[in-house]
Amino acid sequence: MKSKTVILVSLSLGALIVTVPASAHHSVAAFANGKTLTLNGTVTEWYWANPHCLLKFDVQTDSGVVVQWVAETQAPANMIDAGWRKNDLKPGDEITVTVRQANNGNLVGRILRVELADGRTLDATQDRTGATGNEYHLSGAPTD
Amino acid sequence: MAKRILFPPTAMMVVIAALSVLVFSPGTHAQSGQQPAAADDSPKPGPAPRRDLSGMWTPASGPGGGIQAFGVQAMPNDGKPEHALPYTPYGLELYQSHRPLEGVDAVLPAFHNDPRNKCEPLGFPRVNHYNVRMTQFFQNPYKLVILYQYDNRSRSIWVDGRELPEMVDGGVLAGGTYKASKWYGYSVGEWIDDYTLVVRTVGMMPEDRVWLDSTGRPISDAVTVEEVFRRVDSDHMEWTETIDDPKVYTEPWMTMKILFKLADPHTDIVEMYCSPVEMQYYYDSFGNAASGVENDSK
Repeated sequence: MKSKTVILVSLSLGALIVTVPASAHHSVAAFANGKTLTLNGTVTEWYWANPHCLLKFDVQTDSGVVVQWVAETQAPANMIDAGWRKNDLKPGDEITVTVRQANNGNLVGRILRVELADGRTLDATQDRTGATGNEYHLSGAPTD
Repeated sequence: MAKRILFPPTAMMVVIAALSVLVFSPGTHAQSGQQPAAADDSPKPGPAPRRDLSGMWTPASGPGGGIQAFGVQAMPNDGKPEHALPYTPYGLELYQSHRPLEGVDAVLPAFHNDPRNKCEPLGFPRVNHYNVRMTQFFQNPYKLVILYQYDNRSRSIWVDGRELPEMVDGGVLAGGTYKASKWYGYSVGEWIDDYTLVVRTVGMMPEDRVWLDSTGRPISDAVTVEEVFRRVDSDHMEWTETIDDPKVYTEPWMTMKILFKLADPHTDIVEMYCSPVEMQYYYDSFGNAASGVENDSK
């Protein structure tokens, strides 16, 4: 797939609040005034770790230059609650990522959602708070 | 080929503001579900067991109920007058020396001085205010052990009738024997009735090693922490905490009152470790760039 960039710039960010429960690592201060962008790119790394999972992906700019973006989610425990998994993303996957860019304009941001090539969308703005069994269950465990 | 989609700025702002409310409001799905609430036919909880806190507990309101990203649950650090804390002059000085990553005085990721980010032990009572999720209680006639999900840390609470140690400089006197301060202190519990355990803890680490919460509120080694664990019924427990720290606060105050529910005992808990390697990778890959800091200059 051609790596192309589609940019939707949101200037009205006051109401955009990521609602996945914070992991208590850092506030959204670094992104509070950033742009919301939708980027087409290719995964180079999906780092499933604390304090935040990191998604690295290459994006081709309008001028044809390929740049690397790095975007964070919350910690794995939070992302599992939101339905994400460690094996959802692999290097080479073609994806569309919606991020809130850092205020300072560097190529880093906080992920809002990721659309996968198979049509699934991973949403980082909603969790399943209140549902039971938010953690892994042992397969085959007896029920009682 | 690159493609850029542009909208008239004014129209775009209106549309996005409207969509933002729809997309990001927590109640969106409940409002749009068009489904009447199902009747609650789940089994009702039975009576609480006598003098028994054992089990795996999770915040009754959901996983987010114990994260406490905005400070201790009962007094979030949100700038509201009703949440202002009764600092001593020294306590306020301590608070102002902290550069937290959460709360009203949060700094950008690269500029914090939170000991948590060096993967230091959270210590007690901060462990009660940081990602309190799946929390396991193991109990025998002598002690209660609480195993926290974050960093897989545990603390022991003696319930064998011993006296609470006496605080002395740099530690405690326990049964006349000097013992050094500990990250998780010295805890003694007493059942005041068949369903309520009161736990007092002293002898924690000094204020240059530990914080009270992720918003930089301080705590000192002069603190006495009182927790009340009350079994509400067969499935629920209320966990309350009050701190009395005369070095930092002019009066005792309640830090949390959270209802927990028993989790499925077959649940396999997700690890939440602080790895120095992962933390460094996070800052090198992301945190420094988000803060406008070059990796070489940090």
